[in-house]
Amino acid sequence: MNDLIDLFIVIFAGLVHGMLQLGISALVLLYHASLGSNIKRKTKELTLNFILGFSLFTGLAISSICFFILVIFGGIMPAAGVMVLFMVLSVLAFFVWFVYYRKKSEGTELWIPRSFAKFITARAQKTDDNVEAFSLGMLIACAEAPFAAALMIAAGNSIVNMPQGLQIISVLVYVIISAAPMWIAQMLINRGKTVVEVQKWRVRNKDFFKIMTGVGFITLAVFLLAFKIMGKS
Amino acid sequence: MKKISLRRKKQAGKTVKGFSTLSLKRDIMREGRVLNRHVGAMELIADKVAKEVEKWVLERGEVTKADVDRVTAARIRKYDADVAYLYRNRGKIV
Repeated sequence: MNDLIDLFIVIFAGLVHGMLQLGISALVLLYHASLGSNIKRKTKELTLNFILGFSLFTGLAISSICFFILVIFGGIMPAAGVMVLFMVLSVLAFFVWFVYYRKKSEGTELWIPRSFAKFITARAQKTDDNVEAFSLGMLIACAEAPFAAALMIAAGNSIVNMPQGLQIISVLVYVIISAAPMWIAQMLINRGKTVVEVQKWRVRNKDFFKIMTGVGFITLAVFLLAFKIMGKS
Repeated sequence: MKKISLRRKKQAGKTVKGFSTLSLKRDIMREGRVLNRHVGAMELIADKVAKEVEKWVLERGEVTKADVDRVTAARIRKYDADVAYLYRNRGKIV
């Protein structure tokens, strides 16, 4: 039963991570920049490497978090730590609702500083090599950390409580789920959808994503409170 | 290639630089390539739009980059709404 609860936390945290928009925004940006100057096949390779870079960084980050939880807390995060996590997730939900998207923007401009957004745009335009695309993916995964770190800690805390065989699978499950929207976007574009169609769909549904991501953060926080604090006391 | 130099204008700490029909055409062609549009058709559109925007700029003493982008997107929209959407939303994705 406990393993099932832990697995649910990992899957749910991965889902909420997947709903964060920086990764998919950067992927659309890379498509836009690359299709304007490269052939389609090259663009496919670049976007594939971008997603792999994103996934690798996420996988390494969550593995490191598991390691630190093992070393610092001996594998079981104290109730006070989980309580802090609960509060951070709750606060992040409000951040997602009120500051994640820029209010004045008619597009999908995000909370990141404009200078950094310009840097990402410039990097995407200059990316014409697989290694650069891979690094850009890693950079984006790192830039998403202010929102994703709490999710990864929640997932990591559950992963360390699982049997060893399930731990690696859980890390993979988290990585796959968190990168799933990018895989789907890549598949859609490779099958004939245009960047405009994907971007218009994102703009149309951005309020829905904002609400659902916030609700996801709150739900995960409540779940942690119920099963990791109250359930253990 | 004709290059129109505009009076520099300080606006919120940013300087508006010269306007070039060549770079405008290049930008429109690039957006067309993103959507896999026919090169010949895009060249025609880019030529027409560049001329229209150039005329619009010449009628004014000072213009900002945002003005040029807005007018360009509106002109492209007459020929291809998707290319216009891409052009208007450059820099508004992240």
